[in-house]
Amino acid sequence: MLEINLKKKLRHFTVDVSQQIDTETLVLIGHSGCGKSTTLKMLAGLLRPDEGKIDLNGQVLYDQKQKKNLPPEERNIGFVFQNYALFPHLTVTENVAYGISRLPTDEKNKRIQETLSFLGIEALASSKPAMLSGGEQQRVALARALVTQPKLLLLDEPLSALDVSTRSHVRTELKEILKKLSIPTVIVTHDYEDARVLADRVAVMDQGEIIQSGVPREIAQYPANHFVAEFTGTNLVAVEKRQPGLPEYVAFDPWKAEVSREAKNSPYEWYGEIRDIATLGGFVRLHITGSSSFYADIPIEVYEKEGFQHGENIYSRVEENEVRPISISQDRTVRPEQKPKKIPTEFKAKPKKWKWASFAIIFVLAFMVVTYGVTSKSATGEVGSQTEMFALVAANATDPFNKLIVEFEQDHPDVKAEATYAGTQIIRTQLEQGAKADLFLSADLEHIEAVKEQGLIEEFFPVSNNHLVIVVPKENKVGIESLEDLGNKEMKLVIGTDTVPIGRYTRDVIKKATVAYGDGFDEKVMDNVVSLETNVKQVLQKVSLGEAEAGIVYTTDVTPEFLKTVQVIEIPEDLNIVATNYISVVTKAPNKEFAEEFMQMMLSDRGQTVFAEYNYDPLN
Amino acid sequence: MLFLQRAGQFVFFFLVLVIVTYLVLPLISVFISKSPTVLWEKLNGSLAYEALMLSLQTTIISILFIILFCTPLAYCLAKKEFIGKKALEVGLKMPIVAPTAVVGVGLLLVFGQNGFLGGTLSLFDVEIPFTSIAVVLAQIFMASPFYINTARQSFEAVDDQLLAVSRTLGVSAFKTFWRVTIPLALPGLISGVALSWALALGEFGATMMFAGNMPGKTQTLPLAIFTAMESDADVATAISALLLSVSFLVLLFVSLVEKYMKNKLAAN
Repeated sequence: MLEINLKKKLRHFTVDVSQQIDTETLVLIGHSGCGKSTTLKMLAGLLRPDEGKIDLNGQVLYDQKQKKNLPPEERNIGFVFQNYALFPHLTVTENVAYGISRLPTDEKNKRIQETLSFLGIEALASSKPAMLSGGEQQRVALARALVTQPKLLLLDEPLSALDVSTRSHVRTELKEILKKLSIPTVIVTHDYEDARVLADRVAVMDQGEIIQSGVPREIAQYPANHFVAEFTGTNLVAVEKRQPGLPEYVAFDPWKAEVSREAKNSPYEWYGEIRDIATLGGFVRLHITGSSSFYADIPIEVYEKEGFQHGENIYSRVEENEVRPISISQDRTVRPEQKPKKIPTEFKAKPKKWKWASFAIIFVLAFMVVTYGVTSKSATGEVGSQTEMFALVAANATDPFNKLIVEFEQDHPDVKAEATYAGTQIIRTQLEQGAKADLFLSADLEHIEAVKEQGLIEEFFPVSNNHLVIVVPKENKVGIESLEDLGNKEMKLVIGTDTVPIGRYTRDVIKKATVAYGDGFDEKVMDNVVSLETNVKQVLQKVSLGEAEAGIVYTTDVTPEFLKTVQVIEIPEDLNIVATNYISVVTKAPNKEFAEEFMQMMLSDRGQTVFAEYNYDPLN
Repeated sequence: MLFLQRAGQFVFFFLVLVIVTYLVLPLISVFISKSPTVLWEKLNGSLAYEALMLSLQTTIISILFIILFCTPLAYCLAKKEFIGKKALEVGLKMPIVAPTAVVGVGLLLVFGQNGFLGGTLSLFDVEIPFTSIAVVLAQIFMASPFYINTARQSFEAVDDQLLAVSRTLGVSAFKTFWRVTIPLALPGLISGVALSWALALGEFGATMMFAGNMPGKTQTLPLAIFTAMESDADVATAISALLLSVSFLVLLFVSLVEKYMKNKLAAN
């Protein structure tokens, strides 16, 4: 026995249900969105009511006053969803076994066998849900719920997932299964036929409230209002002739109505227009609307003899002993007419050929735009017939070279010089791959000699000298004061990797220092190394961020900006190296004369002054 | 009209062909530019082996952490509603668009010696920059958003009704997660793992900045490629081929597993 009394506020109305259910099948019927599924979910514990109480066989499942709300897994209520919700990754047997996995194996197998045979689905035991028909899925879902021996069974729209042809047959089967079970069952549906077949008792629901409940026959014969009548297919009509002793409303079955073109002056007679004519087997159903709207089923012979037409006005009447007087309960607020869904104005697909043609046109337009952009740009580039020079420059010389470009362009307003700055290995590869450069500045003798051997340059000259320094963070927590400290103290040291010039120079310095400071100095220094960077800026950056406690870089890299965060420790000259940049004119230079001139300027005093400004050492 | 139609079709397939070629050719050229024997020789005696081992070790650890920490997060994003969810979603996508060098600096600002947590960590004598931990942290940062996204989508695809029905069958929410949600989301989770694993393998910028470049310690395959680029381009090509092969194997392996799982789910 189930006793419920539940309230829950939904967006447009409040669900308010009080029911008592014995071992019987109660069907909740109503339009979609009337709160019936919400009621079911509250029973199962999947939704929390606002207030009320649920009592199942004396056990309180929910009580707002006691602040008690059992979770679904503790309620022992079987729930079968509309689309059956079988676990797709499990076989039928595994699905059925899902809820009883804690039972001992013997007991479990026995129950599964019993349930499968009860529902007649033993043959499906090892199938996967995807292989089953809708009716089979429903049985598996039922089996899965029943095997846990629930105290209450809830079915949400159990038949609506089936197609029309199988529905009635599955419905009958379901009816038989439910009959054999002796547990309270609540079924939710929007189809009166389901209710009629399955229900011991029907409850009609609208806007969260139960309007009428009773055995199906009672509800069909004495609908409480138009809403209920609409569901059951019963005619509920206002009596037109206001005579004393006649009821205000009567209900009658469509097949009890009689129609004719002439009035017969019967007390239960209505005049109205034929709105629809439907042939249903041996009879024809007329939908008649006058002051009331109702159906009249007439034998097909009568229909053919009289030849009633669509839109014709006729009289309908019912014998006095066939009408059931109804004192109507007020219909709830009239359901707002379902707004007709806006049917999108039919989209006329353009003929397919248009699609491809427009594609071609768009492509051509896009192509024109792009090429226009390019040509107009190159046109402006030629204004004043400027000569464009291009240099490949080792990254360490970025700042002085930029300055030199500015000076050179001041002397030659018709020349536009540009440069790419990168590691020597990279600019060497670019030159080897045929970059159209005028000048090549290498930070490394080996690279420029290799380029010369390939005939890419003819001769090269030293253009600037540089030396290495130690950098430490401004706070210098480790207390590094000299090159020797790099081997004497523990620290996080960052140097260049041995494949780049800075890394090779650093190793040269360490080698010299090992001779000076004694064997094992190099090993002690290398033990302190935490990272081998591929580029000198990375070394400096890490010291500047305070992550590394020391690093070795070119003196020229420590710009005033970096001096805010790092301090420089000089390496003794006899242990230091001379890092020389070499400049050369490329053999196939497009602007060889300007290139020669630029190079000479770099080698001249004027050029050397620029290098000196950026901390480079004098050439001699 | 017929001519335009033909031209349009031609242009359509031309565009498809161009972009496919463009996307595929550079990767293939890594393998075919040099003969396999040359590539093999260059691989031996280079930093490649050490870097490969380090890459595999760090990425496996990263992936384990990503799975452990990001799966619950992805689940929350998929199935729970909470205030600030939208903002969180956008925030979690930021790592995808952030330049990797920025991420490296950001990690330094948090875990570095002078970072927010650096001081606290140094109390426990933990130093993160220039260690393998830093490599793992950088990889987790860069790869987890992709895992979160895919995991979230696969959790979203699990029907809520299945979870509800499991509860009504007497199975608690926690057990439902393991018995229903995880098995059904698993193919998606696995492809998320594959994607983020491949990304972690390729992580470069943040590692370079945050972990440094020390063979055997923090030099992963991408860093080895970059280092080799400075000296011998052929070695760089050889290591690139190695990295691409490893990533390809990871993706292949995982997609086979995913396919197997999907077949298991479908009717057999």
